Amino acid sequence: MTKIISVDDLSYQYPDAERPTLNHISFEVNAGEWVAIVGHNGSGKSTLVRALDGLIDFKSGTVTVAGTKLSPESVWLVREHIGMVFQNPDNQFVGATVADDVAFGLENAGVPRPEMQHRVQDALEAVDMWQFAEREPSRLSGGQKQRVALAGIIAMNPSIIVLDEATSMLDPHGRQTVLSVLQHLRRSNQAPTILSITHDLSEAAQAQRLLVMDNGQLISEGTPRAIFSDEQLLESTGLDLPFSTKLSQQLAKQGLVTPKQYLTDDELEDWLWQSHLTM
Amino acid sequence: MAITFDHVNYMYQPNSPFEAVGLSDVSFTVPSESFTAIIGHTGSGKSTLVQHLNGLLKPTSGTVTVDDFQLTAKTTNKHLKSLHQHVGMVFQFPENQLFDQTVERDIAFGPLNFGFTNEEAMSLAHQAAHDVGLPDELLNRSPFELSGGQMRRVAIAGVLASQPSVLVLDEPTAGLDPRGRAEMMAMFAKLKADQQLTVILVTHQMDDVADYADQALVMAHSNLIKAGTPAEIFADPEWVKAQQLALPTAANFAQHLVTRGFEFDSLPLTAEQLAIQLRGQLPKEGR
Repeated sequence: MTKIISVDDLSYQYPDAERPTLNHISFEVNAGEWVAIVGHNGSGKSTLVRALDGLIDFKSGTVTVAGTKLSPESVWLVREHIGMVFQNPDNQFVGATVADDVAFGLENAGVPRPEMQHRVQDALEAVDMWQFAEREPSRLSGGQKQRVALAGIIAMNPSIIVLDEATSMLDPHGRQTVLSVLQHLRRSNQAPTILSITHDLSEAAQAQRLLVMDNGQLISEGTPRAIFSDEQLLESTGLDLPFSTKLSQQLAKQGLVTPKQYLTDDELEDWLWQSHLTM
Repeated sequence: MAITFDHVNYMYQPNSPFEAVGLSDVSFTVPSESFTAIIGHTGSGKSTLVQHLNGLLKPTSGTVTVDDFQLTAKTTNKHLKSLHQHVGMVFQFPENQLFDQTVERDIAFGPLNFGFTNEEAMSLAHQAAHDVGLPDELLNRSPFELSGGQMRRVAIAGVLASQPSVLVLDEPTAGLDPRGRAEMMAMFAKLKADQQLTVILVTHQMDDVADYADQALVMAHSNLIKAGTPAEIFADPEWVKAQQLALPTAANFAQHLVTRGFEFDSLPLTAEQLAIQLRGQLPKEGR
């Protein structure tokens, strides 16, 4: 499998900070993989993805994106591979209309107008926002805004999409619409690599692999199942417990049977049904 | 402090091409010292409603009553000061409103503005900082050097320092991590109990509604479409879904169990309630 991102022994300390925000971080991401980075606020997650995009001037360690080693000379080449969606939907609009906004990156890249028009349409259709093309971005809901931001990135066809808590300010419906766009995109021809920073366990559960950060260090990595099974790890890093774990704890309090290992919500439903049938 | 909305209507930019309905004939009562959640999807009128609680918006028609204060279309701005002091508003991302050089001065700004002496204001600021769990050594720091969670606590302390009896919280945990969210919700519950506050919470987190609210108001298209206890609001899952709202996680899971033949007297809203109702439907441990 091709490695699209390689981070090797990356460290970074903000000026005036007492300790490093990134402390000897190494990991790799395969092309087409969906990786979620989890950890509490201040654990270094956002700094890490900013380092990938050359937004942080790190002195120690290397970052390689799509075969290009990140350096002051290569930063623009690297950025062509990465599209980023940030947390606050209101801080990332430049266009007067939704279509203008999506076209902004293409205009900057000098894409000829006829091609630009169809790429804008394709991107807005991919996020189910084409019918809003002539609207003002400021009048959209949070979920719609994030989908437009995502369209602006899809139009550029980057090989990597980074989502920095992109769903954390959305209501449950808005969050669901953004996640279903991502699921759809992964099955499309673009099939980008996705790197999402999130606190939301349902979003993390969609990833193939989780990286857990704490105090600037990568303290664990594994499948969602492996990480969600580790109650101690989840609690010590300030993450939520999955609902199935919370319910199992309450069942134990009532003196009822509980599963012997971590189960997803669906698996717990099956397991409870089986136990019920033995009554 | 009890709050009553009596046939409240609000029009945005009336008599202009941009005229739009903000609230349509909204009536309800919130008992003193209760915890009320306001839910509804984005654009349903939740924020318009809460902005009437301290007179940031005045009804186009109808009356808002907060204890003995009445707010109508005719209320003049100079009469709003006592309302401002009694109703503390914590907006979304309140840390964006910090401005002063030290945490202490930022928190003391409200009391100073309401006419407390410098000494009183500082004492109120220290008390409020303590109430939100800010350590004393932070008081002389710049608020802008603090972490996001601490900055939010400073902003909330700034609201509490004026000793409001109603605390309005507009998505106060948005953007916090799960531990920060849980700590902040526990803090509000404690503040409510210790200071006999009436709390109004605007939220998308149905689990918080289930865990903390005494009653909930459901807004849709500028109308109040349902009011009741969380159990009453979530009792009809089909209706909840039709409003594009979610069920609390435990209620949703319980719904799935019903299709597998489990039975519940009432829909459980929390993991604890669900486990209690599963007694008798599951084998005991160690058998």
